[in-house]
Formats: sequence, structure tokens, C-alpha cells
Amino acid sequence: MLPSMPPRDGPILALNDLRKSFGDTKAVAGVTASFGRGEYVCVLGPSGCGKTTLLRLIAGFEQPTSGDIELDGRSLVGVPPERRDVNVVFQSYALFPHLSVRENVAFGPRMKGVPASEIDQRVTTTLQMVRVLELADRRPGQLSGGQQQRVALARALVNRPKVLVLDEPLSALDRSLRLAMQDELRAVQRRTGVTFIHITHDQSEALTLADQLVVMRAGRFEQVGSPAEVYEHPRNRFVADFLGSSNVLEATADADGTVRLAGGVRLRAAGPAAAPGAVLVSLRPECVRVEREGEASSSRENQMAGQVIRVSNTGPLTECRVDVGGATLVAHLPQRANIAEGERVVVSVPAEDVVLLPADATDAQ
Amino acid sequence: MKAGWSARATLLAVLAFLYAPVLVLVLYSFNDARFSATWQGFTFGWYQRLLESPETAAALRSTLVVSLSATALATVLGTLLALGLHLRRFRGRATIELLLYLPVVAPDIVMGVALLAFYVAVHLPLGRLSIILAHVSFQIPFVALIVKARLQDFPAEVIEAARDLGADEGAMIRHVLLPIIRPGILAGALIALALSVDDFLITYFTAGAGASTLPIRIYSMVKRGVTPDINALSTLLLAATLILIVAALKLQKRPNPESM
Repeated sequence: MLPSMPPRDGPILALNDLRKSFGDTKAVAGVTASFGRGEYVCVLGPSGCGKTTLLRLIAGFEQPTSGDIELDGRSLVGVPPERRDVNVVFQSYALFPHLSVRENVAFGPRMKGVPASEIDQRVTTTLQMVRVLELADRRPGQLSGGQQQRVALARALVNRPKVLVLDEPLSALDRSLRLAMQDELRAVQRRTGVTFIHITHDQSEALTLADQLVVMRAGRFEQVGSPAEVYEHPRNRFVADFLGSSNVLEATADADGTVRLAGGVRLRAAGPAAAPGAVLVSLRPECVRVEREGEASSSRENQMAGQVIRVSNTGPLTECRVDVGGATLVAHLPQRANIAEGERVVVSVPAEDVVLLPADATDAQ
Repeated sequence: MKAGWSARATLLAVLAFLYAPVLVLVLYSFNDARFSATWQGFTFGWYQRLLESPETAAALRSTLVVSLSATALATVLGTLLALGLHLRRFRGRATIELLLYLPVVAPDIVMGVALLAFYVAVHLPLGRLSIILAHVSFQIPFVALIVKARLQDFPAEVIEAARDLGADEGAMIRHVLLPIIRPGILAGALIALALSVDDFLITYFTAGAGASTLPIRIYSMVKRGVTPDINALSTLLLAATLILIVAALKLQKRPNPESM
């Protein structure tokens, strides 16, 4: 274990052109980023994007092919997992089946030679924090999934790591429990001040929890930023698509700062003008307004005439598909919207919600 | 679905074919008659006679010494072998794994002859030591294969969790791996013990003049005719083997330590 050091100002975790290949497969293909103390970081990406390999590199189960990982200013390259101030909450929880909950949580401090009296007190405090103290004498096999999850969290946090890595921690839980655990993870992270690196493929989970969101694809970081930043200003089509459904349309940017959709509709975007040429336009479904012809105020920006193709009710909102001549737009309307299929409508989008993306240079799909 | 009468008849015939000889042997060991094949009444006499025979007592002692020490040695070595094969990636690992099956499938007579030739070549005198080493050599693969099967059921993440929590490899094996695979090791040891207790061929080739285990003793008694005390001795051997195998199977079926 590293000796305790005075707090520093630098990032707690820095990745520097980190790469990991397995044969010809580049699982992590050169990522650079740094994360601050006490941040809740979510790494979001589809399966096979390299996020699990990234986790294993940080935890020490894999050694990088090249590049560096720095924990609190010290390189972790060549340091075995047992000597890193990093702990992992495994997707399968990986609790020790032959030990009681208390013994599971005490395992880390015991291995590190913490005096017995202190272990006892630390274990009790940590079990209390994740609210499973009353289960201390049970075996993992006697616990529910949610309880095992809490024990796994306690077993990692009791070591007071500098960074806690969580591998799809909520994926095995059912929906209501998952939402409750999200709040709890967030609360525990705030209380302990430990930097969490939470790996997930669930975009709503990532948007809910993260201070810092990393979108990963094919071994690279596509975008790093706050959830609001990444959601509102996706850097490319992949990010826009992956963070909730989006209308991504091909268009041409003109010299006057407007863009022209394939069907000829002209839109004005509030952001900086794109260089003339091919671009993509991203319109969030919740930003698309749909009104009956004749009822729409003429002051709306970016109006397009269209016809409703389909209206489907998906619980809290109504999803409406509108043909605007050459393109189909998806709009999310509030529940009470009463618009019928086949109706002529006027679609409008505020200029600040028209997001321009580079044309598909980086888009492989 | 209910089995038809033909299926049931076949089952009975197969069972009779398998167990009738053994049943007859067990019955006759309690038959109060020296030569008669007819039932003359129940007796423990033949078992008593066994206890009184100094040669049988010596053979029993010999069997216990040989089987217990060979099993202890083979269990340690077989477990280490399985751990090494499971935890390490090295050149020739696949070959070693394949070679493990060789003693399992090789005919006993070949093993016996080979061991005898080897002992002669290295000038190892035949006796208890040579029998023990011979037994260890055929027991190791069984222990290793059973322990390895247990290890393969073991989630890799649990090993990684132990390392992540500060255990080096040795501590991980001591505190996590061994306690969890203990039933597998025990099952391997019991199978190895059963194989050792009733081995005849390999022991016969490697025993030399003085040392004699129970199967060898039975063989030498049979040469003077099948007597009821042989039935009794065989029944005892059968019972011992059966108990060991059943215990081993029970241990192997046990899924995880949390059910203990």
C-alpha cells in the first residue's frame, strides 16, 4: 500500500495515450483523459467498445501495451493489483462464498495488515453506510442480488481506495431496484469523496449519475464532458445516437450560415456556422414542436410543413413521426398532445436546438 | 411416461447381470458351510476367522500403510498440479494436460510392467516403497483431473477480487482458492484411496516377495481354492471401496461452500 501523502491538486487519475492490444485486436486504442478528485465518472459505450479492458487496465488485471496510467501522480504500470489504491466492484459481485458478509468486508484490511480492532470498527462503519449491517453474519449465498451488490460495494470501500471502479454494477438488478441503487451509489460517492469510475452501457444511468461522462467506441474516447455538454453538443453522430434517440439528418451548409436538408427545407442554427459543404443536423425529439396547420404561430423558427405518419403512446409521452418531405422526424410530445395520424402539421425547431455535426468522416455505421 | 413391461424386464436383466455375482459373493460370506453351495444358515464365523489369521492382518496393515501414504502424497501433488495448470499460462501446458489422461487410459498391465522395468533400471528394491510410488503415479492424474474440474467451475472474478483486495498469489490460494475447492480435493483423495485399496495388477508387479496388500492376499488364497473366508475378505474390500466412492460422489456434487 502506498504511504499516505499530503493532498495534491493534480488529477487523481490520468490516462496518457493508453493502449492495449490482444493480438490484432486493439481493445483500447490510445485514450488520453484525466479525472479529478471526488468525481463521479461514467464510461458509456456499447458492448465490445473496450470499456471492460479499460477497467482491467486501471485495476491492474491487464498491463498496457503502451501508454501510462497515473494514480495521484504515480505511474501504475507494472504495479500488481494488490498494491494499487484502486478497488473494483465486479459485475458478478465476486463475493467469497465461504466467508460471511463481515469476513468478506474484512478481507481487504486483513490482507493489508490493519490491526484487528481497527478492522472491526471499519467493517461495522462501512456495513452501516451501505445499510447491510444486520446481514453481517450471513453467507453471500443467502443474500438477494441487491444485498450482494451492497456487500460488494462495502468490501471495496472499506479499503479507502483513491479510485473505485464499478463494472456494470447495476446490470443484474431489476428496474426499480436499479433506480434505487443509482441514488444510493451517488449518495455513497458524495459521502466518501472517493472518485468513482462507473462502467455502463445504459445511457440514462450514465446521464443520471455522472459528473464527467466518457463516451467510448472501438477503443477510443469519442467525447468527454459533463452530461449536459455531451447531450446537448454531441461531437458526432455516434454520440448523438447513443445518448438517446436523435434525428440525425444529412444536410448541406451554405455560405449564409443556414443548412439545407436533403428535401430542400432550410434551417438556421444558433451555434457557430459550419464551413460550407456536407454536414449532419441533429434534432432531439423533445426539441421538435408539432402543431396543427393553422394553429401554429408564424413566429416559430425553422418551420417545416409535414404530415403525421404515426402516433404512438409510450407512457409518459407521445411519440410522433412526421414526414417533412424527404425526411422523417421523430418528435416527443407531452401526453395531452392531440394530433392524429394523417393530419397536416407544422413542425418547428428553435435555432438553439439545431446541432450541427461533422459529416460522417468518423462514422463507420 | 410409464416404462413398458419390456423396458422393465430389460432393466431387471441388466441389473441382475451386473449385481448377481456380487450378491452371491456377499451372501456366501455369511453362509455357515465350508464347501456347500447351498444355504446352511447365517454366520459371522468367516469374518472372525479372517481376524484371527496373521497373514490377513499383515496384509490389511500393509494396505492401510500403502494406501494412506500414497493417497496423502498423490493428493498434495495432484492438487499442486491442478493449481499450476489452472493459474499459469506456459508453453507445453496443453501437452501436460493431455499427458494427464495417459495413466488413466493406459492398461494397468502396461503400467505394472513399465514400473517394474523402471524400478529394476534405477535399482529401487521392491517392497512397500515401490508399491507406494507406483500407486502415487496412477493416483496423481485422478486427483489432478477432479481438482481441475472443480477449479474450472470457479469464477475467475473471485480470484481477481482477492488480488484486488490486497492478497498476493500465495495469500489468495490460502485464503480463497483452497477453502473453496476443499470438497474437490477431498473427493479426489477419496477416489485415489479407493483406487489404491483395490488395485491388484500394478501392486502385483511392483510388490516383490515380502509385501502383500489385501487384493494380493485374496489372490494367493484363491490359488488354494475359493473358500468362504475369501468371500468375507472380498466383501469387506467391496464395502470399503463403495463407501469411499459414494462419499467422493457426494462431495463432488456439492456445488458451493455456502450450502455447507
